[in-house]
Amino acid sequence: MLSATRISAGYGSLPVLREISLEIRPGEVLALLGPNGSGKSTLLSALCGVVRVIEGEVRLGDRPISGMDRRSVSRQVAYVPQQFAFTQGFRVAEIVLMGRSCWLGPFERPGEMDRRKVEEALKAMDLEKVREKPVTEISGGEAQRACLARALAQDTRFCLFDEPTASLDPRHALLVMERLADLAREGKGLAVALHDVNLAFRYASKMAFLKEGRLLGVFAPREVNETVLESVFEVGWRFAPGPGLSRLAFPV
Amino acid sequence: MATSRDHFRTVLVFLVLALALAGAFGYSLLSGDVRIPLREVLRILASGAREAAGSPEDLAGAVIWQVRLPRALTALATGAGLAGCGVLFQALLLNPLAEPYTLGVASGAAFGAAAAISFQWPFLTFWAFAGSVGALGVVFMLGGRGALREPTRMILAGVVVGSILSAAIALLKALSGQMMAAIVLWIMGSFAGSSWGSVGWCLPAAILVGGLGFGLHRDLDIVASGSPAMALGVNEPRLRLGLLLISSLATAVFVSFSGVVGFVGLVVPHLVRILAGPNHVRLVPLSLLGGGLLMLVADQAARSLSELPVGVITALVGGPVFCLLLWRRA
Repeated sequence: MLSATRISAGYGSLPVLREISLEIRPGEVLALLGPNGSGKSTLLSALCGVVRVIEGEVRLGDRPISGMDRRSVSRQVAYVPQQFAFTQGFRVAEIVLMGRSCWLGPFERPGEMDRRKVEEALKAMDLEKVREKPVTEISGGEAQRACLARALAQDTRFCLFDEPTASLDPRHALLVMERLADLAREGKGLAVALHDVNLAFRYASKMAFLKEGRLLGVFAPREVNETVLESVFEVGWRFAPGPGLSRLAFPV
Repeated sequence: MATSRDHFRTVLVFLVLALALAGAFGYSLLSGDVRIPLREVLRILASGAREAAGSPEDLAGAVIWQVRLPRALTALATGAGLAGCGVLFQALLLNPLAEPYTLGVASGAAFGAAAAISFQWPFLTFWAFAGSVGALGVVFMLGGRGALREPTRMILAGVVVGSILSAAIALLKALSGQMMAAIVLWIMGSFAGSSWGSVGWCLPAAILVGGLGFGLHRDLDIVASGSPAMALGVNEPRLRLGLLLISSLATAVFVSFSGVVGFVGLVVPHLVRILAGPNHVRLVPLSLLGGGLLMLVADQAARSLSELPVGVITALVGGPVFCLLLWRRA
């Protein structure tokens, strides 16, 4: 289990997050929702130790991640940030192979298993056609899928994704969310920052709402109603029946 | 992932560079005012330094062992080392314009040397090294801890310290009268004063930079690609601090012995990237070969042109080649 206990975290002297406690369990998708600037990205960064935790503790199982080296953390937690800016012309397949880096020693060459994981990740993210293209010459959506494929190749117990569908067309957004749901079914624990409430309804096991750096609550999707959404986003919401037994939420 | 075409291209570039380097190294031992045939050079090298040093009448032996070999080795190590440092700086500072002199090391060395020449202090190399390390210390102090996450801050600190030191060097030149020419010549770089002492410092420094760059090639790839290095298992601030410090100190060694030879550390990594791609497993060794080759050729040209400053030659030789490759790529 990946857990945060009363953590405050941020970039400067003032914390962005205040006293947040939550858990990510194997086999579940935790959706993080909240307005812009609510601290979703900072929370994901803090959960993998990329952003400094000022107070409180993040634990991986029974070990605090602050006492673990980066390589050990990366073998258990993958993280894909919201923003990506590739600065050199590495090929897509080379970027995905970087996900295997934490499993390799300094002079160790990628083995059969590493190559297999990379091939699977490229296929899962529909990147086979652009695998040999430099990442500086592909579209934003393809670049985002390359980042996601890199995290898949990392093959960790926990995955943290910050708005993984932000640059994607509807087909690829669904493909990505279905793959993330598969990961949860395989027993991995996921935390996914999302802006699309309906994607969260469809794929999340739990929904955590953040506002102004504080956690307002963690709900099962069926427990989320207009009042909860209005208090988080400060806009009115209406529900309508969706396909099957699902429901769709609209800001009004 | 590297394809068989990548491997073929890398091997080809490696072989061409290695052969050219061996040729340039051999030629630098053969050419000079004292004419020594190839067979004689080989005999002298095979007989060893002790025998040559033990026979003062063996002028050819002394020329090879005391002059040409240390000079060629120093030029080779300095070129290779500066190119290797250039690769590390460009990766770690996420800036294609970064080079070994970005953090003020060259300005510090030039200031130390200019002061030593102006005030006629002994141990010029020591003062150049002290100037480099002093400038580097100020840049790291100004950059602060945050600079290890924000490379731009460190580059700015380097630019500011470099500018202040350049002004101080200009002042020293203006006040030094007859010594001005000596200061200018030192700053522009030369391998004329090379010795086994300079080899003993520069060669290990180049090997250290190359070894670290090659050993950490995967981490450098991750940082240079713009990927979230911390999330991929790389302690980015620690990597940046360690490698920038070591490569800056290595640069300080090169600059202290041979002056500020520009161009190699900036352009050779770019040339190699055009030929063999951005992966550091290929970029580091090929840049070392390319840097060593360019420096040997430039030094050879400097020798045959009445000891022109080698920095002028590196730019004149490497510049057009770089322009040609850029033009072909466009």
